[in-house]
Amino acid sequence: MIGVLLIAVSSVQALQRAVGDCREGRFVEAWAAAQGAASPIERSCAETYVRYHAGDLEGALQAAETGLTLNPRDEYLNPTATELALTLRVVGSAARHLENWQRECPQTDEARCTRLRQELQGQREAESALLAAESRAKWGVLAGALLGVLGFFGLLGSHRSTSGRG
Amino acid sequence: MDAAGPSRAAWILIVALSSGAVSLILELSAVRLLAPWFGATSAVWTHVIGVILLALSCGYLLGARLSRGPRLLRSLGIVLWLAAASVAWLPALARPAAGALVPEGLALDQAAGVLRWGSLAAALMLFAPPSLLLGCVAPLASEVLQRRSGCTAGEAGGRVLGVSTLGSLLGSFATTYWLVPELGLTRTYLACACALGVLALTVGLLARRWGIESAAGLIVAAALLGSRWERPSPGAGCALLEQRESPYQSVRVVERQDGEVRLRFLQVNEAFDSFQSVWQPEPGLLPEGYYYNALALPAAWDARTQGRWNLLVLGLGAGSVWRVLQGTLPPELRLEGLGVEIDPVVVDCARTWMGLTESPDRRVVSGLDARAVLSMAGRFDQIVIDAYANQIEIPAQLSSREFFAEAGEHLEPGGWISANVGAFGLQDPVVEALAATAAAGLHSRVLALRVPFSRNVVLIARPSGVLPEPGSAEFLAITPARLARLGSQASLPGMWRWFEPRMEPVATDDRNPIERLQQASIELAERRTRETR
Repeated sequence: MIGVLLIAVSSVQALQRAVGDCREGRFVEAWAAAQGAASPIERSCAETYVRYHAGDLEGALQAAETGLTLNPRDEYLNPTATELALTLRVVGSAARHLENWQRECPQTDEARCTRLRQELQGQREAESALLAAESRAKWGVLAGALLGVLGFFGLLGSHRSTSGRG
Repeated sequence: MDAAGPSRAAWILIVALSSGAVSLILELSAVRLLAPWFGATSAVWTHVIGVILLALSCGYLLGARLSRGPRLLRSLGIVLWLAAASVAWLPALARPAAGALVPEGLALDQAAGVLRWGSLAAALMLFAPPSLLLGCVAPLASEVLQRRSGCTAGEAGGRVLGVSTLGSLLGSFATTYWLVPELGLTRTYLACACALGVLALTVGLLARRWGIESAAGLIVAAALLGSRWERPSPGAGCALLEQRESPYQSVRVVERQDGEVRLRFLQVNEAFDSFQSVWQPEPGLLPEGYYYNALALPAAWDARTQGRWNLLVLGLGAGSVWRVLQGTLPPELRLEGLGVEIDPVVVDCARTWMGLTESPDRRVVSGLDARAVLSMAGRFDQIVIDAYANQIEIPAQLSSREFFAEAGEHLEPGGWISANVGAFGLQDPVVEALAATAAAGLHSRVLALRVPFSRNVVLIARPSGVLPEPGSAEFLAITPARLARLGSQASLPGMWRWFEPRMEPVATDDRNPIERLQQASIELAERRTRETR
C-alpha cells in the first residue's frame, strides 16, 4: 500500500528500485538506491520507506521529519510520520503530523485520517491515565511518609513528656 | 504486681515469636506480591524493606505508648486481631492497589515513574498497616512480662527480643523454602492471619474481654473465604494456559494468534508488554521482531554444514533459542549442548506447553545459577546469554568483566558469544555498559545489532576469530533466506555499532552499577517520548 503510494508520488527510477529491493528483502541495495535519489525530498521519502520496512522505526520517523521540513505538504510523509509516531507512542509528534497532514493536504484519505485520529485519541487517554497514576503514587508516598515521620516523632515526644512528668 | 505462672509467660513469648516470624514472612513475600506489576529489582526490595522498617519503628513507639495503659492483655489482643485482619486481606488488596498505580497495557519506556513511585506507594498502602501493628507486639509483650513476673524492664525486653528475632529467623527460612513455593502467596498470608488470630483468641481468653476483637475476628473469617491474590490479566486476545508460583517468580504461559501463526509466550512477573520465551508450532525462525532470530546469525556466519553445533544457553527459559536454531541449522549439522535455567518451574511449564525436550546430547540444568554452571561447563561453539530477565532485571554476576572473561574461556577456537539486551537503541546506557564490559572481558570487539521491529539489541563477539562487517558479503550471504533478510535489515546505518575493548564504562564483580543504568535507560526513553509532547 505504502509502496504503491510512494511510486505514485514519484516516478524516479531510484525510488522504484528501493521499493523493489525492499520487497525482495535486499535492504542494503535498497538503501544504496535511496542515496541515489534525484532530489533531497525524494531521498527522504525513500529513506523513510526503506527504514520503515527494515524495522528501524525511529530512523524512519527521523527521515520522514527531515523530509517534512523540505516539503510540509508531502502526501506520503505526513501520514507515514503520524503512523510511525503512534507506533513509537510519541503522542505529541503524532498529533503535530496529523494536524499538519489535515491542514496541508485537504484531499486526504478520510478513512485513514479517521483511523489515525482515533488511535491518537486512545493514546492520549492512555497517557492521561499514566500521568494520573503517577500523580496518585507520588501523593500517596508523600502522605504516607509524612504520616510515618509525624507519627514517629509524635509518639517519641509523647514518651519523653511522660518520662519528664514521671 | 501479680506473679505470672510460667505458662502465661510462655504464651507471651510465643506471641512475640510468632509476630517476629510473621514480620519476616511479610518482608520476604512482599516483593513476590508486587513483582507482577513492579518487577523484583533492588529498588523494589529497598522500597519494601524501607516501608516495613518505618512502620515497625512507628509500631514500637505506638506499642510503648499502649503499654502505659492498665489493660495490657486487651491491647495486645486487639493489636493481634487487627494485624491478622490486615494480613488476611493482603492478597485481595494487591491487585486493586497496584492496578491503581500501573495502568493496563503500559510499555516499559513509559514505566519509569510508575516503577519508582508506584512500588513505593503500593508498599506503603499494603505493608505499612500490618507492620505497624506487628511492631506494637514486642513492647506490649515486654510490659506484660515485666508487670506479671516482676522482672526488670531489660530482662523482659531481652527475652521478648530474643524469641522475636528467633521467630524472624524461622520465618525467613520458612518463606523461601516452604511457604511461598508450597502454599503460594494467598495461603501463606491466610495461614499467617490464622496464626495471629489464634494467638489473639488466646490472649482474649486471658483478658476475658470481647468487643473490637469480635469484629476483627469476623474480618479475618471473611478473608478466609474471599481474599485471593490475582495477577495482572494476560491481555486482550490471549488465552491463559497455565499459571504457577515458583521459588523465584510468578510464571505463566499464554497463547495468542499472531496473523496466521499461533504463538505461546512464557511470562514471568509481567505487567508490561514483555515475555521471556516464545513458541510456535514448527521449529525455526519466529516472525519478525523476535530477538531469538538474531541469535541464529553466528551459526549462519560460521557456515559449518555438518558435524555438531555445541551450544550453551545461559537463561534457557522455555528453550526458544534451541527451537530457532534447530529449524535453521543445515540438516547435517546437529544441535547439541546445555541449557541453564535457574527456575525449575519454567522448565516444567516449557516441557508441558512449549515443546522443550531433552536428549543425552542436549541437556537442561535447572535450579542453579548460570555463573555457577558456567564454571563447571566444557567448551562450546556458541554461548548465548539470555538471562537478563524482564528487560529490567540484569543479574550483576552475569554482567561483569570477570563473567565475560570466564565465558570466553569456555569457547572453542573460533567460537561465538551472543547476548540479548532489552534496551532503547544503541546509545542506551545499558547497552553501552554491557557491550564495553563484554569487550573488556573478552579482549575482543563486540558488535551490537538492533533487532528490527523490537526494542532489543543483540551483542555478538568472536574472541578468536573474524566477525563479519555489517553489509559485507560474509555478513549477508547466509541461509536461510529469512536470516539473510535479517542480516540485510541489521546492516543499515544506525542499526549496528562496534564496541572496542578499551571503551567505558566497564562493570566488574566489585563494582557493577547495572541497576542504576537500567533505571537511567528507562528514564531516558521516557524523557525522549515526553520531550516531543
